[in-house]
Amino acid sequence: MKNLRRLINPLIALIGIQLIWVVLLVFWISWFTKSHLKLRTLAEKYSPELLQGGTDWFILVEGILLLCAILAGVYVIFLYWRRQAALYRAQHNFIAQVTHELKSPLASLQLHIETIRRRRPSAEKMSTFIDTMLGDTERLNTLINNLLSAQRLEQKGLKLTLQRENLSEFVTSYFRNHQFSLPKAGKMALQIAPGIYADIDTAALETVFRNLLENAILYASGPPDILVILQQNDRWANFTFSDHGKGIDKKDQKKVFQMFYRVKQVSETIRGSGLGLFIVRAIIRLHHGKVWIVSEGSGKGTTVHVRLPLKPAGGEENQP
Amino acid sequence: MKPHLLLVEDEPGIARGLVFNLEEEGFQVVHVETGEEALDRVWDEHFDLVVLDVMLPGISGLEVCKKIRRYDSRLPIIMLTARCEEQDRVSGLTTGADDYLTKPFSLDEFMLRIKGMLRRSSWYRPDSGLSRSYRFGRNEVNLKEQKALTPRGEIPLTELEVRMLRTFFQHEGETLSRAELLASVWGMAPDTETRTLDNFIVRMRKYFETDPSDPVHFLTLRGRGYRFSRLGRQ
Repeated sequence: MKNLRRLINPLIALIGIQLIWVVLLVFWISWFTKSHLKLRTLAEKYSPELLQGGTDWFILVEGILLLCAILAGVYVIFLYWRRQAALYRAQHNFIAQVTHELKSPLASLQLHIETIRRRRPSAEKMSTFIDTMLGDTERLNTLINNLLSAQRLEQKGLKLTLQRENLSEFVTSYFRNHQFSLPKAGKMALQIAPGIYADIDTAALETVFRNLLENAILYASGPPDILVILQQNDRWANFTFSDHGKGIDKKDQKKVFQMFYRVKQVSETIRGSGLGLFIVRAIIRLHHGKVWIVSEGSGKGTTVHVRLPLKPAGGEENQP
Repeated sequence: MKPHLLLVEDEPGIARGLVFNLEEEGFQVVHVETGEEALDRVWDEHFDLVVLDVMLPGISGLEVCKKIRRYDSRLPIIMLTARCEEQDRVSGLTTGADDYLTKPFSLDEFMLRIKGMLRRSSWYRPDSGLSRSYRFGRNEVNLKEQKALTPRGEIPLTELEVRMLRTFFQHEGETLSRAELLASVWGMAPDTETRTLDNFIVRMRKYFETDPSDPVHFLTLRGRGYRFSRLGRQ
């Protein structure tokens, strides 16, 4: 059974097809030249008027072209198959991961609710339980939002309402809320230049910030240490979000924006769905901006750069 | 005496809730977040039951279960996991778990299962106090209390000695290379050239071997490393 599976391994099948193709081509050319010579001698003997140069060679070239087209076809099918297989694998992992991500906070919620019903805990205990439960609902909320956004983005159904806003104020107010509530007593510094305006959809941009923040917390080595910078240069508002976490290898810096893609961590399980950065990129693109990642490599922290078109203060621009 | 439970769970919310409930029910609970910690604790202490999450940072719960089963086939283990497909349940039970509960679970059911397992295990599992001791030859080693009872008297053990003995006990009968021993006891890079290891082995033999010049427990395998044999040279 194993041998059979190995035989039909698509890569081996592709190599096999190539070999058959080369043999076929060689056979075709040699058969053609041989029969061509035979035909020529026959024609010279009986009716020289049959000897019209050109037509024979046309048949040869046509045959070769046909064989080339078949090979190209096989190759294209192979490429698509590989892409499909990778997507299938990613989706399979995604379902397992999302199941875990949904069930863990749910289990925690159920556990705490049942505990409250069963034990009637003290007021102090109760407030810790409620904090934990709120944390769980927040986690569920983020995940569900991400799932919905990803689905809408994939079907190109997500419409943003871009409005002229003071980006400096918006960024400051979002991160101020989270600045002193980082886990493990993490630090966050803000360097926000004032008076930067851009056309943004605040709800969508909050999703971007939430995902960046969540990544920085999940992939931190030790307590998170975050630096948020917003400044303007030329025609752009430049937003950078740096952490001193695990960092991302060069080869993964583009791939992390693909749907479901997750960087494999050596001997460590980090929760996540592989949707966050996919959503970030899609939203920033809908803002006519650009997002990219700079990291010196694993263990050296990550900086996410976001560039949005700068707009003058005041005035409104609505886009469907 | 209160039953002594080990909870291996990396989700802080769930862990806090479970610890609270188990303590309310009168259990004594030790909570660890990783499989590695769990293995060390299980080795040093006596537990009546282990509650083991499958998805852990580092080595997985399945791996932890397999390793525990290698040296303790009677310790009751209940697995907690978010995976609920039959294949996952089967692989959990195949590694040696006694019971399997999928998240989210009902608190009452969890408690009943734990109590049931403890009741059943009390029929066949001796109650051996909070710390375990390990016997070989005429020696008895207690890793948690860091002491050994040998024919030469009671010997206090240092932290490094405990770590080395634990490594040997966990890999009883297996050949351990110098590099492996250095890495797991001293955390050194395996290419470090050092006589420390050999001096340590000599000390172990002085403590525990009846005739240190003709060892039967701490054996040298020329060019390959060392091997610990519980029953004496085989």
